[in-house]
Amino acid sequence: MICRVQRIRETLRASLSSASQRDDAPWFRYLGLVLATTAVAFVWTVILPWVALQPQMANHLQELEKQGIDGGAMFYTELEAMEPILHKLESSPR
Amino acid sequence: MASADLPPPRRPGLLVDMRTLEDWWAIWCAAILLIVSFAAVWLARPADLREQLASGEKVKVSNPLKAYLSKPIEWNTNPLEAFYKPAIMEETTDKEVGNVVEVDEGRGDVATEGAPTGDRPKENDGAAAEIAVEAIEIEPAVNTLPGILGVYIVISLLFAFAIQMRGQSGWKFMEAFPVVFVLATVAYAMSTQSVVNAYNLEYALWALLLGLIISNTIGTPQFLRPAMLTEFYIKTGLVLLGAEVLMNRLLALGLPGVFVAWVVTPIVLISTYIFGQKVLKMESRSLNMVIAADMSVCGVSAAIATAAACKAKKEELSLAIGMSLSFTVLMMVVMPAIIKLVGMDEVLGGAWLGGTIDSTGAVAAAGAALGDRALEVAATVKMIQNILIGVTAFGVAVYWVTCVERDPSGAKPSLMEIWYRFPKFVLGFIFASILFSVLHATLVGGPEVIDSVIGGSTKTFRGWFFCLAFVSIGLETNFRELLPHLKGGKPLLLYVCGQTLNLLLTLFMAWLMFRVIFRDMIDSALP
Repeated sequence: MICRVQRIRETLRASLSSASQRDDAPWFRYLGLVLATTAVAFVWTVILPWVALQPQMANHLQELEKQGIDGGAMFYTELEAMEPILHKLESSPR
Repeated sequence: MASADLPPPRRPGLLVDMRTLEDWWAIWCAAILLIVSFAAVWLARPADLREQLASGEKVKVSNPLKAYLSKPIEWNTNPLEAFYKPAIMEETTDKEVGNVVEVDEGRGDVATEGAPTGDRPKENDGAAAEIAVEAIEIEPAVNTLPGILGVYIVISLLFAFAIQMRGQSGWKFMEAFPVVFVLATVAYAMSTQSVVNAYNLEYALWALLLGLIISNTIGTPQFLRPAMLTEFYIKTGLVLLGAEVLMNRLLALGLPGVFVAWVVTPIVLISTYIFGQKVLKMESRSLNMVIAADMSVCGVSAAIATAAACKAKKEELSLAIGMSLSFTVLMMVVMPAIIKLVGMDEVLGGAWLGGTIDSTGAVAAAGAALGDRALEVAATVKMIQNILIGVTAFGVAVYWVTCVERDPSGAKPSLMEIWYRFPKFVLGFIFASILFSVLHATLVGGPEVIDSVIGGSTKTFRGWFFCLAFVSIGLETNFRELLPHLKGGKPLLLYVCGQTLNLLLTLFMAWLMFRVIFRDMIDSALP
């Protein structure tokens, strides 16, 4: 019984080490890079442009542009819509 | 010999620190950019600025540097339009010839269809050549490549000089920097795709992704290391951000805005941090603090500032930002729907959105979904919260050096020790904020001049510095390093519990301030 457990352990160790060797092989790493880059390029050149052209999304994007809203703004200074709001608030009576 | 008998370690003098420390060089680099930008705008201001302002005219102060500094712009279907967008033309046929005016808009490739056949005079049928066509440029072509090149040249020269002055090789930095900059440019272009941009999936995420793809496949080449200056980019970007934190805008919405943004936010931040330490028993205090800050203050920018103030690990910052952006997308879609469903008042809904959704762009987009008043309140509450970044970074830095990094024996550190440990770039951040707030309030045409300095140049640099920092983080990170932080789902639980408290407390405070105590004032300010 003990021998059997040891044999299983050794087999597992050997298979794990071959897997890590395969991971370290240069061709495997370059394949990973090519696949990941292709996936990113596919999403940004095919899927996202298609989504942007769907009527509901196109309307939403147009509406945001019209209102000067940059959805990706990290800080208020990146928001075009902030300028008229501040102007209005600063000139309003308190 | 007992450790208590050991003489205190000799510290280098302040002048030596100022010449060699990264924190000080971040301040010097940002100061150079701020001074040059301010000088350019100040010298180019209209000579009769005072008279123009006195006559009540709308004054525009231009920034001469703006044309030489840019970033990729928004694009819809063609990624190349992030760098070059052809002019938008409007084509009209000549009315005098008797044809019906036909207008078509499009970038560059203008269609030349005629008017409906029924309306067209018989003699003109099929005679397209007789129709006088005039193409008017309604929006000029935009070419961002020279501006991107300008940013590249300025940052590479400035940083190479700083690195050389700190006793390292500026040349090695210049050899590696083009690759890191190209990756940052691609990440920026990915973030400006219209759908990605609309859902607030900021460049930080894509810069991380690109870096991670390289580091986890072929591995980061050694020659890139001299340009992977995560902390230097972040600290320089943060000092530049300080100039955008204008304290005089704190009272834009009067007391109600201050109560929602400056009373609820610190309560949520501190409660979440204590909850993480005492209840969840988070292994990393810095991860706990960064998540608490990005969830309660204002997302990515607060996470960057807090992480730098508490010296958090790069993978902790990545994790906090990833969670913040995921929840931001969810909240910007779900919250307006809930507000509409329950029939909540537009002003109250706007204040609730502004106080809870992490990111500024997402707040504006969600507010706009409710209406103009909601947009105004939401964006202004968020702006007031944005201003809290400086106080948060300063408070966290003080807490860290006095309490968290305390001597293991429990002894209270001396003032000199606190000064030595204190992240000096925070001082640059606070100083830039105070100086620009004073200039904004006291200069002739201060708001116009400062807005031009920020909008035309320093904001662009700040964005690039953060983008470069996230590319560097990605290049330095192995996926395996992220896994231990996800153990037990504690960060996620911390975020969810903290955000729940934030949602409840902000709603209560917004209702009390905007709809009960200051209702009349708000309704007259935002009719």
